[in-house]
Amino acid sequence: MATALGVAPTRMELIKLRRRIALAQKGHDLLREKMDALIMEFFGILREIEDVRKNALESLSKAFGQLSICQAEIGTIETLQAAREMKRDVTLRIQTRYLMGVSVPHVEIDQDKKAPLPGYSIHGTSAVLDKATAAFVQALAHLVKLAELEAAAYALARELERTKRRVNALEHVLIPRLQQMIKFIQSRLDEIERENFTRLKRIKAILERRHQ
Amino acid sequence: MSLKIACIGDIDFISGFGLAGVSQLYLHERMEATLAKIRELFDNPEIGLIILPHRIASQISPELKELRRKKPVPLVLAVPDKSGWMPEVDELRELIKRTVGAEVVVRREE
Repeated sequence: MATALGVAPTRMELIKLRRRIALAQKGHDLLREKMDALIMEFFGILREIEDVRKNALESLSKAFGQLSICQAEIGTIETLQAAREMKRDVTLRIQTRYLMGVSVPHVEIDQDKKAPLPGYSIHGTSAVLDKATAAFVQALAHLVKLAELEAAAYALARELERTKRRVNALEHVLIPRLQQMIKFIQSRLDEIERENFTRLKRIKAILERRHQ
Repeated sequence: MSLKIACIGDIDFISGFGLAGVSQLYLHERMEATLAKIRELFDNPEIGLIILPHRIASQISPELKELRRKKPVPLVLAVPDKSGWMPEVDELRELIKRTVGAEVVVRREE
């Protein structure tokens, strides 16, 4: 027992330890609550992802279908050429929001309103190209939303993991160790008390014998 | 602040996203070149989102994870390509399993 966990068996130390354990317990409870809240947020986002992903994948596969028709009609190279000539430049505005102290991105598409017409020449290209373009524009909107949600899910998951680790550290390492220290000090103090008691008894007996 | 979208993939992939208005298009040829390109995009503060097919993403997923951990932006999104191919192991599902400690199926209550 003299491994002693590095504490002196004094009453002062005992009081300090009790205080620490109360604090650790409080921290533990708070972190637990944070974890619960994070899990709720996380599931909210997962539910959203499920929907958005379904939409995104559907519109994307439709868009690829349109693209195949387009490539078949006007040629693969020509399609790529049209894609490269595209004037419309989709840009994103990314802001950070804070969810439970976790920064998650908030993404918005801001479409360039100045170039409503595609960059390829209308004359000399076919309607299938327009169709493919429209389908991909739609798919991209879904995909951007999906990217935002996935990034949020990853950020939350990382925070969740970190919180969980801290909760576990408190629960399984720090608090038990403090409890063990308290137990050690208490037993040591009891021991000292018993020693004193027997010593007094003994002294009393010796004194009495001397007086007789 | 407006950020650009970048897209890496085969010719069909970048044609499609090019039509949608993505300006940064890169044709995927060799893995090393693509990976270098992705690193470069990550260093470019003008890029907000990188779209690439699952087929590429699944081959360089350790590197992608590393990059993502370091910087929150650009976002990386892997999507199925023309063939609709998706990896067997859903990365997100894997993540849930690890963090929550159980397989979770999110179902909408009716």
